[in-house]
Amino acid sequence: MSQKKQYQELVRRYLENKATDEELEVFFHLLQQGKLKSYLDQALGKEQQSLLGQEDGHGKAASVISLRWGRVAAAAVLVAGLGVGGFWYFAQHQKSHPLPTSQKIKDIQPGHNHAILTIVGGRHLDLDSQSNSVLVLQGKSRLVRNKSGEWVYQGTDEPEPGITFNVLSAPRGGQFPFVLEDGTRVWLNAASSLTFPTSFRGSSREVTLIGEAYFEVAQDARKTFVVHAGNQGIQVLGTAFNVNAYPDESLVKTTLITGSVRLNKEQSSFLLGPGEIGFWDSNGKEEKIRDEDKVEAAVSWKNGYFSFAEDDIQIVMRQISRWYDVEVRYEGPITQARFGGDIERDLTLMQVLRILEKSQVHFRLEGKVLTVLP
Amino acid sequence: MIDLPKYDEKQLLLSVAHGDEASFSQLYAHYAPLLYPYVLKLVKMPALAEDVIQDIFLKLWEARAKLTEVKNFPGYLFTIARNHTLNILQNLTRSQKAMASLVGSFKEQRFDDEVLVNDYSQFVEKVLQSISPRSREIFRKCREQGLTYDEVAQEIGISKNAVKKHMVQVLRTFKVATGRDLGITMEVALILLMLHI
Repeated sequence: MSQKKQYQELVRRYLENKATDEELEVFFHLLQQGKLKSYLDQALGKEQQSLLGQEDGHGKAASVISLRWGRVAAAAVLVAGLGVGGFWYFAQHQKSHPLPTSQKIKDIQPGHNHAILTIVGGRHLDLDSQSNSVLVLQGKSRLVRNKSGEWVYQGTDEPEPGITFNVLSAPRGGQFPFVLEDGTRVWLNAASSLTFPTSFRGSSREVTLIGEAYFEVAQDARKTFVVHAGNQGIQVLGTAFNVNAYPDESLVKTTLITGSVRLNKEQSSFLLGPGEIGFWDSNGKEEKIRDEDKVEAAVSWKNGYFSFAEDDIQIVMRQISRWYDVEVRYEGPITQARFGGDIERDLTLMQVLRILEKSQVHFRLEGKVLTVLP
Repeated sequence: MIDLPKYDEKQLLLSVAHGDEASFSQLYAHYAPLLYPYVLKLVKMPALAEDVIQDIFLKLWEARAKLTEVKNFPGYLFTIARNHTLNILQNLTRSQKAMASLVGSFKEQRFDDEVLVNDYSQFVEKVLQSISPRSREIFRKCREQGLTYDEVAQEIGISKNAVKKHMVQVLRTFKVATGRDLGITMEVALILLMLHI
């Protein structure tokens, strides 16, 4: 291990609350000597990116969302029958260069159910590694694992001092099903976080989402449920819907499964019905789409698979990047192929890449950097 | 139709730049919960983290005129936060009291679930041996002393005046209730605040 790696490791273990007493001593000694500044800077930069869900500019091509729904005329070719439904791609030219298997490349396992809950007082609870079935948070609030293994938050009615929000974050390579105190079920996707109050007081139930989540809102006619995402408010009475509001996806998209929701943004506002996807396009125009495939694709992650419907490579890669926690780069011209179909999310990264390689695209994996080649 | 608080960052930043307190509090309500885990990772003490966040927003407010030029606001805010928090942490190491409190908090939050690489343990051991016996003695004391947060705050010079506390309270109250009359209370709090700076 190089000295650089040792310093990085020390900083990481400090930030993650894992350092022993001896390491703390070493940490502060080196910090006083000014030797850790750049390592801290670096680690915090990464932390910031994951908090804001930003990627570092790669794959941020502005053209991503110019796709007009339902107008992409392309031929579908069935490539590989894989469990859930097989994977399709849309491409005009086919080349077949399978990933070199002889090379020693370390495969990457898929993400799993994992989240960190940050509660009042700053405690971080790693919900993945908890063996307890009841966690006492603060005051009377509890986190209880029910019979089906879901974590359920039980709020407190007592007014309490201090910041009164909890933050549930699923890291890259993680996702998390969760039940709020009002009975609303939330599935949090990778690289996403949900801020919710320690208890839903007042006339509405309001949460803030960064990233993606699927909600099944418990009925309560007296208290509307509001999801703040990007610059929108999504107002609900009791319904099931998906919100995709990753900062690196240029549009905030709400997909409604049942019930009805109202989308609000600045002065504009409209209602969404079941089976519709609603968003404001890049010109600020209201858009509503009725497309079974798109709706299916939007909620598929929660059911355990990636689903694409005439999506371009960048949309595909951003999902891969979040779930396998890899950094995606592009070399050479970016393929114009459109991808459609399903891939199970419990495959390893290599298995997924092999499927994608059946189309006109190739990859190079070096550690956690995945390069997309023509 | 219910009138919802809308969140339009560009517009908010513009209003803040022109001195609109209500917009500032909206910005706060949106970003404080995001900054909190970030700052806490460094300073470990919840109460201190809250204070540091207040300081960060004070800096933001004082430099509000610049907001019109900021292209990536989250990036800008987190850079301010990072620099400020790293400074605080650096200052903290100069005070035995502050260190004692930090180490105490750290121990409460410690996860202990990793096996160390041999190479890394050797590195830790080597640095330990290079630290003077006097410094090690001081650090050992730090680990054993439980100190109050107020002492710490004074020692590292985080302003903890009543006005600020008041502002924090106002902002927090806003975050719990989705009150409409916020503009007025915030205004009062901020005017008070400005008088005391």
